[in-house]
This record gives sequence, structure tokens and C-alpha cells, in this order.
Amino acid sequence: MGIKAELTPSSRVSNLYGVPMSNSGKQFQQLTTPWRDRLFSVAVRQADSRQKAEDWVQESMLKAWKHFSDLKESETVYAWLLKILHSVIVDDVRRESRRAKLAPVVCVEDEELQKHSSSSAGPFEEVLQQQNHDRISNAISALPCEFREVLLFRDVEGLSYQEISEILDIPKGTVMSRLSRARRMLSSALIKSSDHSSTHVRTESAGGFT
Amino acid sequence: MNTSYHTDSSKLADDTKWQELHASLQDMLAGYVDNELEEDEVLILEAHLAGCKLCRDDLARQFALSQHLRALPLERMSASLHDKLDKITEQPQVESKVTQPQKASGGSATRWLERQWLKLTFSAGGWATAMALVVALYMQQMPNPPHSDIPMVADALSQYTTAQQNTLPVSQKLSEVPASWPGGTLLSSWETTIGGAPAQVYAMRSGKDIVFQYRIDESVLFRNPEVREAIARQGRFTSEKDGTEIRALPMKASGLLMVGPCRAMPASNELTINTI
Repeated sequence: MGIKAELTPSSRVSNLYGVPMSNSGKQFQQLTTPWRDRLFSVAVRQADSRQKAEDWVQESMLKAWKHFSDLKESETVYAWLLKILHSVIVDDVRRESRRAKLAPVVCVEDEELQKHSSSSAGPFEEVLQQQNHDRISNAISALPCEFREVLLFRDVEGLSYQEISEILDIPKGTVMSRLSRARRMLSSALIKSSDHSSTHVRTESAGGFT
Repeated sequence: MNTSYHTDSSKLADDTKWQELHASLQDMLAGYVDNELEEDEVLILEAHLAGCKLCRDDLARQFALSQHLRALPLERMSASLHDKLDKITEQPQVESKVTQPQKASGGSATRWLERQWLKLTFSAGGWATAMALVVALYMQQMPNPPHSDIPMVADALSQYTTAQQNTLPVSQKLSEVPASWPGGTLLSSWETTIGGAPAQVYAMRSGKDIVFQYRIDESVLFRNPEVREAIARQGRFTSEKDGTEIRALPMKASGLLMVGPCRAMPASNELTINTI
């Protein structure tokens, strides 16, 4: 506890504000290196290839470095990096869709969700057990991007609604509704994929599931 | 017929109302799973859940899914990307503004670290992490440290530089330091080797920098003729290069070696040798 008092500005503080570039570079690396793979994990689950994810991460880190001075005192480094990654992905997806004239981001209708919400909960644990990590990752990748992001941030990366709301610049209520829908869509996709892949297994043991 | 029609229509209205509520509450199910709802929202939702199997099922699925996703493994980037990112700080920072913003950048990042550090100091179990941050905060200003031909000096310098990249070991016990000075605070201490003999290192904060002091073996201290001669003539050996100072002086039955940025080194008259 005594340490705190020692941190109060002393006459040496003035030295700190003239940190030369090389030192701020070192500081940047110290702060960001531990998050590189986590950032890549988030990127790769949103990209159609690992190469694309690497491009996004590289661009994000370069942006982060160029704007290192924007890192606020109250911000956590990881949330800050995710925010930058988000903007890089949004820009890239927008650019790509304009060039390739892709269909606009899928809009999920309530009717669709209603249909999904009626899938019964009983066999769902079983459904999850049947999925390997790759299939789950693929199903996540197939979600529309605004739903995919909140799901990754919350369920995979463990961020709070407040942090997600700041990263994506959307109200907390929107985080909640997107997350509700994202989980519903993902559940439905996993149920479908498990139905397709194990029809005969399910019929053999159907008695146990109903 | 009329009556019957009337009943149907009010039932229909009730159904529509219920459907609306059902639809809007569906969007709150995630918040319930994640404990992110306000108290009054919880009450409304629980009342609805009691009568709605669809939502109860959905909730169960969300719980299970959320738990399951936590176990997704970390994906790792390629080694070549790691290499590229290591070099990213060679790129210029924000274009056009060169002098002032750079200074602000260093300053604000430093203040950020300081804030985090304070937070960690007070959080349970934050001490080890705090140490890592202390290193980042206080050792960042060490210029490219000089190397030395004197083995004990080379050892001390290399350990000091390595600590810049790593977490400081956390002390088992904070023993008394060999040398103390006003504004110098012991952060951590651990055993090491200097000049091939066991030594004890004491990481000190001095102002806004880190200074390492070592209690070294007497034979190591006097092994080098240059050091021997300096101690014989001035009572101590000092070497300074690129803003980093090395100081060696004899103690009762051992040697004291200090390394740190020149500006953080105590003046000789400030220094109290505790073991003499």
C-alpha cells in the first residue's frame, strides 16, 4: 500500500512526457503482444480465410500503433484493439460488398426467430456434444456479421455488455437483443446441422430424446 | 352468434398483446442468462417465463450454448505474422504531426499504465501483474544499454535489460536492502548469479525509474583490475554510457553493484550503506 504514495508525481515526472519514439514502440509492444492471438481468434471466426484474418489483424495493429496516443486511461487494451479490429472489418466488408455487389447483410425476420425458438430444449445439450470445435466455428462464421460479433465478444471472449456496447458503439439494449437473436440463430443452425449429419443415429435412439 | 364473435375477437386481442410481449421479451433472454438485466426487468421476464414454454426452452438453450462456447480453443496466428507485428513499430505513427503529439502519446500511455498499476495494486492477487507493469512503466526509458567487458558489469546490465521484457520475480520476503537513499523504495528481491557467484538482487524504484542493486561476492567485486584500481583510488567504481550508470563499491564482507538510469542514481552523499 505504501507504494501508492510513492507514485504521486515527483519532480521527475516531467521527464516522462518526453518519451522518445523508440520507447513508446516498446511500450506498445508490451501492451499489445499478449493480445495478438486472441485478436486473431476473433478475426478468423469472422473471415472466410485465415489469410483474410491475418490481413485484418495486421491492419488493425498498424492502426493501433499509428493511433497509440488515442488509448484512453479508462480503456482496457484488449477492448481498444477489438474496437479497431471491428472498424477494419466493417470497412473491408463494405468495400468488398461494393466491389463484388454482394447481397446486403442478411436481415433476420422475427417470424424466422419464432420458428427457431420453438425447437425444444431437451435434445439441445446432446446437439452441442455432437459438434466439434470446427463445426461450431463454421456455424458462427455463417451468422450475419452484426450478430456474430456480439456472440464472439460475449460468449467466446467474455466481455461485458458495457464493453461490447462501447466497442461497437451501440446501446446495451441492442447488445442484448442481438445476442439473444445470435444465440437463437446459432442454436438453430447447430440443430439443423446435427439433424443432417446424424439422421440415422437420431432415429435409432429417438426414444430417448422425445 | 354475436356473443361468440365478441369473445373470439377479445381473445384475439389478448393473443396479439401476449404475442407482442412475448416477442419483446425474447430479446431480453440473453440479458437474463448473463445477469445483465435490471431488477424490474427480471420480475417481468420471470412472470412471463412461468407461463411460456417457448421462452423457457430458449433460455435453456442459451445457457447451454453460452457455456459451450467458452470452451472454444484459441486460434493462433502464423509465426510470420508475429514477425511482421514485431516490426510494426518501425512504421511512422500518425502522419504530419511529429513533435508535440508524440510527446503527448508517450505521456498519455504512461499515465494509462500508472492508472492501471494503481488499480492492480489494490486488487487481490494483482501484485505479480503490478510488477510487470512497473517494469513497463519505469524501465521504458532506458536507452540501448551499453555492454561491458567486465563480467560482473555485463551480468548486471543484461539482467537489468532482460527485466525490461519480463515480469519482475515477486519476492518471497522483502529483506533489508544493502543501500538505501531518499526516494528509493524496494519493490522486489530475488537470488541471482553475478560473475559466476551467487548474488542477491534488489529492484528499487527511484523516483520514476527502476534501479537494481546487487549484493555480490567480494571476490567478484575485486576480480577486475580496473574496478580494483578505481575502488582503491576513489572508494568506488563508476561507469556511465548512454544514460545508464553502473556503480560498484565495497561493503563489509561483500560488494555492492548498482545499475540504473543516471538520473535515478542516488548521489553519493544520499546513499546509506546499511551493512557497513
